[in-house]
Amino acid sequence: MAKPKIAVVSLTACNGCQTEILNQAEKFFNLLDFVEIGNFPLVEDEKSSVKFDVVFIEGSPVTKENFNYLKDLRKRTKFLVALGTCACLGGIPKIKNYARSLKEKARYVYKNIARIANPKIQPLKEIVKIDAELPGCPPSSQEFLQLIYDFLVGRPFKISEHPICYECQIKGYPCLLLEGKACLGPLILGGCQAVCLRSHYPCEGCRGLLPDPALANYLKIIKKHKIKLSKLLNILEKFGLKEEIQELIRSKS
Amino acid sequence: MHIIKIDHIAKVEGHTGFIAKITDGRVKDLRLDVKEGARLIEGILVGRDFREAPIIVSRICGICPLAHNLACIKALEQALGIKPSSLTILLRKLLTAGQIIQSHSLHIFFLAMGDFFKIPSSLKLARKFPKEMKKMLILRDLANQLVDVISGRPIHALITQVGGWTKLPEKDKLKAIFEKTPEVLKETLNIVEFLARAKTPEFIRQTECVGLALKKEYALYDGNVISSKKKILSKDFKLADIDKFDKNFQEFQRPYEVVKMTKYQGSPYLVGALARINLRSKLLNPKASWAMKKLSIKVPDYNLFDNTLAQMVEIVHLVEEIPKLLKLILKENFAKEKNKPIRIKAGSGLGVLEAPRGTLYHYYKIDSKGIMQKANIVPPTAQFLANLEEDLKVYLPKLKKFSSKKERQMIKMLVRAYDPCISCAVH
Repeated sequence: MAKPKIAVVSLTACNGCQTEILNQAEKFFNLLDFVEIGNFPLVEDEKSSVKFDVVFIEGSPVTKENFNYLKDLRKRTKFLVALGTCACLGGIPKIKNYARSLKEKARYVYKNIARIANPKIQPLKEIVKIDAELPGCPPSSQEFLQLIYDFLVGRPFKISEHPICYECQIKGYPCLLLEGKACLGPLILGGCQAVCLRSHYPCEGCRGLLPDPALANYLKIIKKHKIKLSKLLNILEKFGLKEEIQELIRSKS
Repeated sequence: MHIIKIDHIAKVEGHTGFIAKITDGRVKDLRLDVKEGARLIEGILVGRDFREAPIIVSRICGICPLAHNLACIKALEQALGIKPSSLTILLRKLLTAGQIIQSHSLHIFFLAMGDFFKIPSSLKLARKFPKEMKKMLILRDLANQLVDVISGRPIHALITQVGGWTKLPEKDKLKAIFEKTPEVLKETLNIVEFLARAKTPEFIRQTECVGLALKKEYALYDGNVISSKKKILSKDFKLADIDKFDKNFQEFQRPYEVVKMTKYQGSPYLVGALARINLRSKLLNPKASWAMKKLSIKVPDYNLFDNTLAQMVEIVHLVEEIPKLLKLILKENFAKEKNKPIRIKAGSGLGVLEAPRGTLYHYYKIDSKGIMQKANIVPPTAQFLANLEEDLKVYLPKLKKFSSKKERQMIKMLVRAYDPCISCAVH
């Protein structure tokens, strides 16, 4: 049976997700015994395959070319994976959505904005059907390898649904919420081993919300520690979670 | 008329193509066709709290995030009148070393080396030279570990802060890295011997080289901006004087282009590994000087195909430098170290350092509440793209004798040799 064909590509991106994968180069090379690379333009200057089994897309759709490429790839692959926070949630580039005016931001940077594509930033799932997400800024290379392995053995890839707090407590890191810092840990999907907390840095939610986050409880906790809701909402703008939380607050009230 | 059009140059960070029209053997309308989307990072920063900036600018690039993160922090410290401690500076120099090794090694092995051995797939290249690839991975692991231990993770730093750190690194972990460096140096020198087999194409066009310089140190984290033509550029302007900076380093956007290129007093110039070595090779560590000879780099070297080899020389220099810095750091009393207090006030600052691809400038103006009023980021790639186009204009006619396939291959090889980071350039 032919080896499954995979592709790793980026739209408008920082390429940190792909660099993270290359940081596990040895494990990635071992994969090549089991998969074929149909397209990976960062490291291969070869003609791209036409059809794929799994395509990983990093980044945000910004230019018209980005949108066309995304839609075209969707047609050419069985399985499409959003790689990284930009693709899954919107990410850092999405911060511009919260500004008063997108045009104003473009005008600030460029004298000539006529051909500067400047859409509202969306996660990939708002444009095409996504089959799996590998969130994180950068994402976990472990999860990347696990997803490919699961695909090879015909098992659905699923990230364990526990909050960051779970991993943080197991590792024994000091709880920043208890120190009065606006840490999103209780609401966010685990899997990163609480890497930010390891650095005494509060969780800012780059892996996205848990499917059913304990929001009411969390809001009580931040109130108790005198953390302002406005500060929280500001942090939520960083990786693009603000609307989801606002929607949850609205629906629960 | 003959048109050369390359839609996408692979094995380059970011998205760019190439277009040139040749009429009667003369090159007209040659340009890099930069296709990267504009994320408007400078625009995003304006109106936000300065404390968010280091985390945001890190995401300009996943290959050199620390360079942006640290240049940003330097600029903000200048704006707030904060002088970092000597330990902080040493740790940041270590981070700069780690970052440059991470980026250069990625470029050499995954992006550029295939061109030397005529293997377009880096993965096939890795399979063809497994021993050398293993050595490269040992080198990358050291750099990744160093950046992880001090900044929180290999990509997108967490611990680096205005005024200091969220926490200091564990001395045991630094000691472990220190103990590894002799072995890593040995492997690195083996890689040099391997790369010495590579034959670089001949192409020379004299160009102005710009970079940071200090009297007694191969400057990367701090320094004065100097040029190969005039001695010290930062005599033209004190680095905090943004109007003089803007007047001398002009950013320009050609009609309908998404990248703002830069010229110095109207002329294109070169930054990056080859430029730095041309300016300051006498300050390289001993094994790095050996590597320069081994890789046949004679200063001044204006053959940009040698830039990839110049990056290898810098890697050797830094693998020698890391234990020196670690020795100094391990002597310091971490228990006494405190972050510098931040008193928010209005101000502006220009943070400059050598990113892997060349001199990087971050300029910010903040108000009395710490909200960003102005932000300007000038990455090295945006600075050398004009120079790359000048090189291509002269190089292209020399490719007339080759087949169309080889012509395209050589164009791509020269572009890749510069190691452009298109996502940075556009940001």
